[in-house]
Amino acid sequence: MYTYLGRRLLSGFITLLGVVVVVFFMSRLTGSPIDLFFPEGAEPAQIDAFNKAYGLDKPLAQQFGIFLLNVGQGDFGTSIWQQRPAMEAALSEMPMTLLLAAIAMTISILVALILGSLAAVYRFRAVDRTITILSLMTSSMPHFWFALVGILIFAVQLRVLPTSGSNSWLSWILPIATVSIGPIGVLTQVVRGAMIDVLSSGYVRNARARGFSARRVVYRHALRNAALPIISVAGDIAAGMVNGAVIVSVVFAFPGIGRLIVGAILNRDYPVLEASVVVVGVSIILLNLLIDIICSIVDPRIRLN
Amino acid sequence: MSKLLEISGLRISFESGFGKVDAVRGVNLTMDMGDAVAVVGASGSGKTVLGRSLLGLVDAPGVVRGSIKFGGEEIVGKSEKELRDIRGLGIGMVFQDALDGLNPVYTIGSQLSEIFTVRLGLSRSAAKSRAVSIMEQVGIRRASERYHDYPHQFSGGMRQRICIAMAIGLKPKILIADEPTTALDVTVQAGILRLIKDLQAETGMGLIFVTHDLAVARTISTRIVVMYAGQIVEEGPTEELFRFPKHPYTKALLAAHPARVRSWRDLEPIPDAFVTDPSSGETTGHSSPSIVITN
Amino acid sequence: MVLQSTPIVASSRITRWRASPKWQMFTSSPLAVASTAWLIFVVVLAFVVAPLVVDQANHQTIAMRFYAPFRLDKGFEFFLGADSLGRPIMLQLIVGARTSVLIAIFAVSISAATGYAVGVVSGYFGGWVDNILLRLADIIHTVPSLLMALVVLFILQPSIFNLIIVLGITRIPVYLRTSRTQTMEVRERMFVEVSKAIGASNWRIITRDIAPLVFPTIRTLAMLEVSAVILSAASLTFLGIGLQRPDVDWGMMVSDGRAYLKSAWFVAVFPGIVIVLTALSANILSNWLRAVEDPAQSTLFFRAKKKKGAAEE
Repeated sequence: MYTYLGRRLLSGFITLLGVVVVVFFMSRLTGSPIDLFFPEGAEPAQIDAFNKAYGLDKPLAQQFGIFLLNVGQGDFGTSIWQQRPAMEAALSEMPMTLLLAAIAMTISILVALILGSLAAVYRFRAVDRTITILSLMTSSMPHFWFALVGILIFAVQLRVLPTSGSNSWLSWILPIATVSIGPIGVLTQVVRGAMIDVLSSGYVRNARARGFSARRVVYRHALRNAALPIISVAGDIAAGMVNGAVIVSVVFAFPGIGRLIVGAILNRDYPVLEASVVVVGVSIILLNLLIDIICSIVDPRIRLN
Repeated sequence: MSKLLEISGLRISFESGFGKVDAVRGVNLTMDMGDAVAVVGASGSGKTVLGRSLLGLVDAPGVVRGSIKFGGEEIVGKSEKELRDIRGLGIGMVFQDALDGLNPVYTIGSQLSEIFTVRLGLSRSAAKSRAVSIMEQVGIRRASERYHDYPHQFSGGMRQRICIAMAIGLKPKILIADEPTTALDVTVQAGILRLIKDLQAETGMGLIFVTHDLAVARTISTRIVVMYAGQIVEEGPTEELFRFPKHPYTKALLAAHPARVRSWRDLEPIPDAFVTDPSSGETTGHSSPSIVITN
Repeated sequence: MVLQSTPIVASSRITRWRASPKWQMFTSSPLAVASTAWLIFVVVLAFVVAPLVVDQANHQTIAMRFYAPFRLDKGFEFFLGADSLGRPIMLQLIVGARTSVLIAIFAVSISAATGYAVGVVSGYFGGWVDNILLRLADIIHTVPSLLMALVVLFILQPSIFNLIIVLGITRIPVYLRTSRTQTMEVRERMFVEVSKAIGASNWRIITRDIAPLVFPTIRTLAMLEVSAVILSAASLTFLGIGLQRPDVDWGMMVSDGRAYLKSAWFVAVFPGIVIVLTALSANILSNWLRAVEDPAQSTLFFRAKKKKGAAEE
């Protein structure tokens, strides 16, 4: 089991390396920050000093070499935009995003488990139809629109929730709702599908044939088997939540890595961009690893192979 | 004294937006303790649905009409709660797919013990020892060690033995075996059949063995019931039916046995429609695909 | 007792199709019909109407700023109101439709075709080729698509073409993975071994035996992805990336209207509604297609009211 994890870790690391390389070259190719920091007709001397300070005067290959060396030591350079170490900037914003994602993920999974199971057990009846229609609708809604409508209804018309910021716990409600609404739709359908499959399986039928109560059959026998596909989908969902977090950052002025990345792009701040992407990448890789571990705990077939 | 099992006028149909299918069309059957009845028929003859209906496992859109009396009590129309009392305790069932029939995420030991803790209220340790002894009874060696293993760690034959253990664990009066050996290879088949026979001899329970394999039916049963298109077309003591079949369908089934067929020319097509002449009461088969019988 | 024979009736192709179960199922499901109708409507708007109204759509009239909707006195095109520069929203939506449809069709086609082809090859040959391709897919997959698109779109000039390319590339991994897994499963099947034994070349096996089996899954996936691409494109343009005026996209329209939420809600809400309706229709349709192939999973489309030919076991 540990060799399996070790291999996954290594594999993740290699992927991360690839991501970093890609980001490096892409951000360098976007164009130099010079255009943003210096007005037209600025003195060449100033431009040269700028370039020297940020190592932009060297050939690309050399820049890459230096970059790799620094990265190996955890140094992503200094933010051009914010004048502080890039990695520090990235790491300071990440926790909020992680918190937001974790809360949203928990809520999404719980809600999906309940709704999906209901839909599966009462298949084809009114309950199922309503739930399925609702989940179809929510998975067709773009994050930003949901956010805006939320603001329109709750903040502007009803005035119960703030439009932005993160001071009070109230201001967390809309952001969390926005990030979880899409996943709830998708996960509900996944749970429903998984439950339907499991409920028609031989072992569930056997459990019924042995005279167990419906509750026992569903909770003890069905649910654990239905959980497996959910857990594997959860990995992709989590990655999608970062997307949602970016939108939420922008629309609600909510602190998080999304805000940082959009700002870094607009300001052509390579160091911060690279650092941020690496931080996000690492988080996702670790998350996938965690999911693999959970999968192997839940399903003995994986564990014992 | 009432019989152990009395089925009369059983009709089961599946009604949905797609149409209506009559799976069982008027079946009468009785059996006592110690009887070994084989229900023989091809796929779609209704034999599986018949078996399931005895445990109340025919779900919507299936509709069960008629009467099934178990120990004098009517099963048709019982609520789910009442049916639960019968399942496992009164009537046990073994199915065809042994791998799919065992929950992959729990050890088979815990699945066996569960039956005893939940239905009999035994303590954990008492349930465990019961489980181990029943595993030994069905022929699993090193039972106390294998108690902690998962279903995928057993071979097909062993898994089926475990399923049998689960079905008889609560000492039911009737065991329904729905094609338990179909998915197993012939050598393993023999072992399972012997096990079922031995268990029946030990406990004296009634056995309903559903199969499409005539050879198996002959080995395991004292009485055979032949089903076709939802009806019982012939019934009788095993040896007598094999030697002197009366219904054309039975005759055709027996004639199709590989031992009697030397080339494809020897094969007789099995009629897909039977016409009973009302005056003489004689049934003959017709094999024209374009002919439809409308009553 | 009556014995009668059932005659075989000869009929034309269309009448036979009309009576076919698929068409019946389609017409008996109002949701499927409605979704298809909406999508066809959008496509017609996109390709037929859009070219006609482009100039009018971009015509700015300061006097018409934030003209409220649901009034016809200034002309039909202002029925849905006007935005911050006086441009008629209805016409903007129509031009936006063209953008969205183009992006959706091409991006999905590119990613589906590439993912499908590469996945089949990768899954069939295995070995180091497979490893590398999988690794590449992982890299694209690890960075959340939005981020990736954001970064990439900064290299390239904002344009519909680039948006298509970016969305096409970032979504390849999904198809690649599915295609690869299915290929690996099909590869182990008996008939492939038979083909090899007969001496069929790899190319032949891939194109004749394996690819057709993988195709239906990809097709289903592609349909689902249409909705996802529409939403992604809208998100990107909402963030201000990927497109520049005079190119219009629904997401961009929502973004424009964001600042005026209190005073002129319609500038942001109408485009949003259109996005949701379109994505929803695509979603419903792909669900319907899946339901047709595997009724057990469906719920919206099979009701116990009409009698059909097929019977259940």
